[in-house]
Amino acid sequence: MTIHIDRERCVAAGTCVMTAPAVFDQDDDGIVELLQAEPADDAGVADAVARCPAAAIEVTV
Amino acid sequence: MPKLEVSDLIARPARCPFDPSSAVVALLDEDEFGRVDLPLQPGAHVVTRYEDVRAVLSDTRLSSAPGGLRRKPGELADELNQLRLPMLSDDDPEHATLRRAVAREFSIKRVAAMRPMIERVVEEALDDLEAAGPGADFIAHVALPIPSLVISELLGVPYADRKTFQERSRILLDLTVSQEARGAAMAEMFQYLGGLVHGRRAQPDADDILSRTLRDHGDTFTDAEVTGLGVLLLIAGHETTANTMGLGTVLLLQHPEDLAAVRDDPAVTDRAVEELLRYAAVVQMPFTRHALEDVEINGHHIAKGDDVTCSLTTANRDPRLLPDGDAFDIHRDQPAHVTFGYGIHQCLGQQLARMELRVVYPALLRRFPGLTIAAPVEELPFTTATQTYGLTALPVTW
Ligand code: SF4
Repeated sequence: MTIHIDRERCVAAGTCVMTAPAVFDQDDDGIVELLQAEPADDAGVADAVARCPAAAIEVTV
Repeated sequence: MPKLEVSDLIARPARCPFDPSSAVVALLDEDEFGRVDLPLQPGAHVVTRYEDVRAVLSDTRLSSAPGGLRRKPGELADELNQLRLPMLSDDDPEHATLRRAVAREFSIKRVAAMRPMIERVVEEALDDLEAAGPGADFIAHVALPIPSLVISELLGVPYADRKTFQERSRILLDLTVSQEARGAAMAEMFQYLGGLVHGRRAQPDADDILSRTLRDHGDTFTDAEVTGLGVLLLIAGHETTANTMGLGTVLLLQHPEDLAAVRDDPAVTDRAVEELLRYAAVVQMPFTRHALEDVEINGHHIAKGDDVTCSLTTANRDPRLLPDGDAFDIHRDQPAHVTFGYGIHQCLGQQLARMELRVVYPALLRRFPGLTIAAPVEELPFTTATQTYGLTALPVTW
C-alpha cells in the first residue's frame, strides 16, 4: 500500500489526522503531511480516505 | 417529484424532537429528490441520501456563490451587509485563498494547545450556572457564553469590550428578535471588528488571529476582507456549537446509563461527542448550491441554473450509512457523518467545536452529579424556524 497526498486539494479539516494519526499529520499551516507513505497495515487509512472531504488522499496497492 | 414545504426541511415531528420530519424521511426511503420553494431559491432540489449529499457537496459544478455569481475582490463589506458571508459564499480559488490564510489556526495541534484556555472558560461558565441556582438556563449561562468567549479569546477582543460584544452576538443568535435588529447587530459587529482590525494594522504584534492574519497576509487582504473573516469566524462558531452543547446535554441526560463513562473515560467522551454531533446534526441544511451546468447525481437530473439543498439530518441516519441510524448510541463505531458538511467547505472550525464539547460534558457532569432537566423534554423550546436546530432555553436543576 502506497499513500499519495495532494496538498493542493487539502482543506485542512484534520479528519485524516483524527482517523489515522500514525500516518497523517498537519503542518504549521494545517495542511496534510504524510508521516508514513507505506504503512505496514491499514491503520485507519481506508477510513481516512473515505472521510477526507477534499479527496486529497489516494492509495495504490 | 414530491413537493415539500420549507417546514418539512426544518421542523421535527412531535413524537421526537430529534427525528427528521416524515416528509424528508419519505424522500430518503423512496430514494427520491424533492423540490422546495426556499425564500430566495424557488423550486430548489432537496437531496436526502448520504451518498447523494456527499456527491452534491463535493461537486465543483455546483457553486456555493449565491446564484452562481462569483464575487469580485473588495466586494466583501457589501456582501456582509447582504448577509453573504466571505469564504462560505465563495468558490475556489477565492474560497481557498481565504481558507488557507486561517486554516492553521484550527489544526488539531493548535486546538489541542487551546485546551487549558477552553477549560478555564468552561469552569467560569459553570461557576456562573451554579451561582444562578437550580432552575437556571443552561443555554444562557453555559452553551452560549462558552463558544462566544473562546472565539473572542482567539480573535483577541479586549477584555473590557467583551460584554458589549457578547450582547451583539446574543442578539445575532436570538431568533426571536426582528430581522432589522439582527441586521443592526451585524452592522455593529462589523464596525466593531473593523475598528479592531484597523488598530491591529497599525500595530500588528499581538498574539491573536487578526494580528497574525494581518502580519502574514496583510498585503493580500484589505482591512474589509480581514474584518469579514473575523465576523465569519464569530458567527460560524457560535450558534452551531451552542446548539450542539444544549441538544447534547439533553441527549446525554436521556441516557443516564452512559453518564459515568462520559464523565470519567476520555475515549468514551470522544465517541459520545461524535455520536451527538451525528445525531443532533444542528445545521439542518447547508448553504444552497447553484448548478453552473447540467449535473447528474445518482440518476437524478439537475439542470444548469437550478438550486440544490441537502438534508444533513437524514443523510446522517441513512440506513445505507448505518443500519440503526435512528438510535442514539455513544458506543458505536462512528461512520463519516456529514454534520460538518463535506467537500471543500467542510467546517474549518470542526476540531475546535469537538474540543469545546469534549471539555464541557465531563466538567458539567463532575460539577453537577445530579443534573436533571427541569421540564419534560417534549415541552422544551426547540427552534424550528431556522436552518440551525437547537434550544432557545434549557432549564436545569441539580
Ligand atoms: S482529511 Fe483531507 S482535507 Fe482534511 S487535512 Fe486530511 S488531507 Fe487535508
